[in-house]
Amino acid sequence: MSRSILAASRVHPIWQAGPIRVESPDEDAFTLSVGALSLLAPQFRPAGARRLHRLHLVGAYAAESDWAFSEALGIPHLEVRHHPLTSQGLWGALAAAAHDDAPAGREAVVTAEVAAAGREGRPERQAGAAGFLLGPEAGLAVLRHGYRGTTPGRGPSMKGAVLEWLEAVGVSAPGAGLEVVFGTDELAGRWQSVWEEVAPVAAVTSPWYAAEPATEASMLRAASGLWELARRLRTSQSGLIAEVHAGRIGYAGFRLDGPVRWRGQWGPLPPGEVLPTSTSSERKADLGALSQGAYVPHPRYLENLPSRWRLEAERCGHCDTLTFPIAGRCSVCGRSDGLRREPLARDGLEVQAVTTIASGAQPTEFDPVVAAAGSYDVLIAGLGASVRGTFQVTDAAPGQVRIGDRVRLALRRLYPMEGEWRYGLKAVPDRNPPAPSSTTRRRRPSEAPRGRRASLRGRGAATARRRPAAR
Amino acid sequence: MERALASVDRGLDPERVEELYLATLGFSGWQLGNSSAIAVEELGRPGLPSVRVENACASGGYALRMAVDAVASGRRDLVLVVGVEKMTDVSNARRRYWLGVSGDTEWERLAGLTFAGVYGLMAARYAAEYGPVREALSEVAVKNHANGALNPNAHFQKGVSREQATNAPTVAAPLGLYDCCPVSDGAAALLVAAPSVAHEYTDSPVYVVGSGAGSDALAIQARASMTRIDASRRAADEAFRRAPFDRKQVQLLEVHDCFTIAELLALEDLGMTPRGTAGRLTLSGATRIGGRLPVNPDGGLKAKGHPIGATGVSQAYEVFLQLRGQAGARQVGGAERALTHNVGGSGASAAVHLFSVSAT
Repeated sequence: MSRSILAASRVHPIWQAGPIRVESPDEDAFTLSVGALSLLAPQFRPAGARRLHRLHLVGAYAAESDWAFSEALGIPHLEVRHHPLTSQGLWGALAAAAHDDAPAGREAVVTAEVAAAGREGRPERQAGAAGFLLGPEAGLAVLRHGYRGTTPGRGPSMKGAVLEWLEAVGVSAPGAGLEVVFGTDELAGRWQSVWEEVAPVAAVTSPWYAAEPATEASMLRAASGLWELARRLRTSQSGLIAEVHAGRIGYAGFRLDGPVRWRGQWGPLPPGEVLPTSTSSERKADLGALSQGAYVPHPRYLENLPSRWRLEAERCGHCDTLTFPIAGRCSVCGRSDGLRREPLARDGLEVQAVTTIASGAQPTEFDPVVAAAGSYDVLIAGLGASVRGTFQVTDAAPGQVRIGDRVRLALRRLYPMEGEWRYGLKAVPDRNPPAPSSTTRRRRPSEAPRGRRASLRGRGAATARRRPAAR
Repeated sequence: MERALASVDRGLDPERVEELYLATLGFSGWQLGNSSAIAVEELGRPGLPSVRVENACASGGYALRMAVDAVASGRRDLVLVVGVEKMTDVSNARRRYWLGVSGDTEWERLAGLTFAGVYGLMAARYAAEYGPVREALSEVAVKNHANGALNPNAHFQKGVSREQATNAPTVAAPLGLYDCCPVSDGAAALLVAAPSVAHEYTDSPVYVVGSGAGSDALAIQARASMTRIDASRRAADEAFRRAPFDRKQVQLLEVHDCFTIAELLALEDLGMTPRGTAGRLTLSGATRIGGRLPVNPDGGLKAKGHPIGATGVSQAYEVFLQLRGQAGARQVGGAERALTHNVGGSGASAAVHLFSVSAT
């Protein structure tokens, strides 16, 4: 059993807001979070000692999250706790997850946010999610954390603040090895001088959020700081996150007790990778609207979720036939006893047929997709040897997918119906199809320069943005 | 209905009609329930037993099948089959909604497909399995538009060129605008009579000598193959089982070409040509009027139009004209044995009928 904290994160500058209506792509806090947690999924099981038994949600999640995560992850009776959408909320959730008496298994913290970013006059949107797996054997200990506002002009002195933070992580006489992630939106140069004076040996870095374009997303800033810190920490080392932002001061101290394993990537998309613009409407009026057609009654929608969200099929115990979607009986011999649920692989799926739906050929409920992207692809992919599924393509320009290509499936928004979003799996072109297991290459550990003082607004930010972290 | 009754060679007293089968999807939702009651009212026979037959785009073929069964069983001597759909008097958005209601809702529709998309997938897969198909698809459009130009009742009465068809704007790749049937209004009616009474009305009846139907999974992801419509094969097998002639003796086909790829699939599914060869057959000119095996001389769904409930009934109407030598400019010379093929959804249901100028 690995002793580890695992983190999965991603940040996408997902769409240009500009003069267009406020519309979102087919990702929201829920789908982003499921995406992040699914990267952690190999590390927990629906049952047994490594069972995930509690999920801490940090951010603004719809009410149906209380059951939807349980359904999407395939973990019955998953306990859900909500935490506020602030840095403090994230640190508090981590502390709760790391310190809770959790004999039943593991706890995960997930946060996601879709927020405005970018320079004035050139607004962008950014979205991201980070998942952290904790529990009895978690590698990350939360030492202390605090967060407070300051009356304008009456905050603590900069030097006093730094000393207070150092004390919080038990470093009274600053020595070598302290990793610090510090972010500020004011007086960066003066803060840098104070750090150099008070803690000359500490490695202070400023993650991407301190760089332009600044993001308004407080959770993305907080999660990115944590990502950066945990990526730099070595076993038995302490670390500190501090931020001074919009008149608020916050800090959290961490200690790494075990090796950290990483999944995913944090930072803007690599050059050349383009995510589509809006693919569904977020306007409140649309949420209330009755979609014309594709009417699947809510109870039926819920009944379908094992197949629609988790790609579960049924294996017949009598004739070994695989039936997808699940139907409660074997599609060949018709027997309803002896059926076994079997989750199908969700990546490396081969495209068997694909079409591009041009404007006018879409069902009305997908009008927003066509309005935003002009057209979209729909494909049929093989799910294992004997069954197929039909999926809309996302995260790719229309007309790019070919028969024989490989895709993976991701949970996304479909369309609003009767006041809530309906979700389902969509196909994402697999740019790096999995190699045969015997030849799978392991990414080398990140070779970030260590212990080096980076400019608060400079190089540290740049490296954190570009380097995929995998350790 | 009026024209059908008035067209009877020796005249017909409407009071002699014993039952009415109305094929309609109920497009637009107007009078979705009990629409057959309106049909008998219009007929002026409000007391007549009637029922609406709904099997998506195959409603007409199934209504004919039920009428044939009613007569063949001896229960009725004279039955009226009416197919109708009014599709153009609703808004664009509502029309697009209704165009998808017969497809698989839970998987295909939620992936963003209507029928154009489903047939687009089948065409893409067909090309992957059997090689380039674009030219053959265009040829189906060219031929059916040319035939439609000879049919005064066709929606489109204008030919298109191979280039126009090939370079048309995409609807659902690889299908373009000329690969898709239009949205049409239309109606058709047939009188189905027992052979024992048919000669009271005409000296040259057309006999229904085979009737078959079949079904399959609604979503193509669940079917055995994406390049076959097994429902059609099953329907044809049943129709030919007791028919007085075999596939080789068919002289004329009316097939369900809602999209051009569907005509190619139909020729293979019905056993008229081996798998993967329908394109070649079409490009050879064999399926034109005057060819070895004329297909859709009335223009097919592609050019005549596809008023959903009317389609299957109108196919039989065309065959009736052709076998009686009354098809005018589009007459297939010497046609005595014909087949109609009507598909519902993207192949979830199919009805096949065989017709002959002689009872045996």
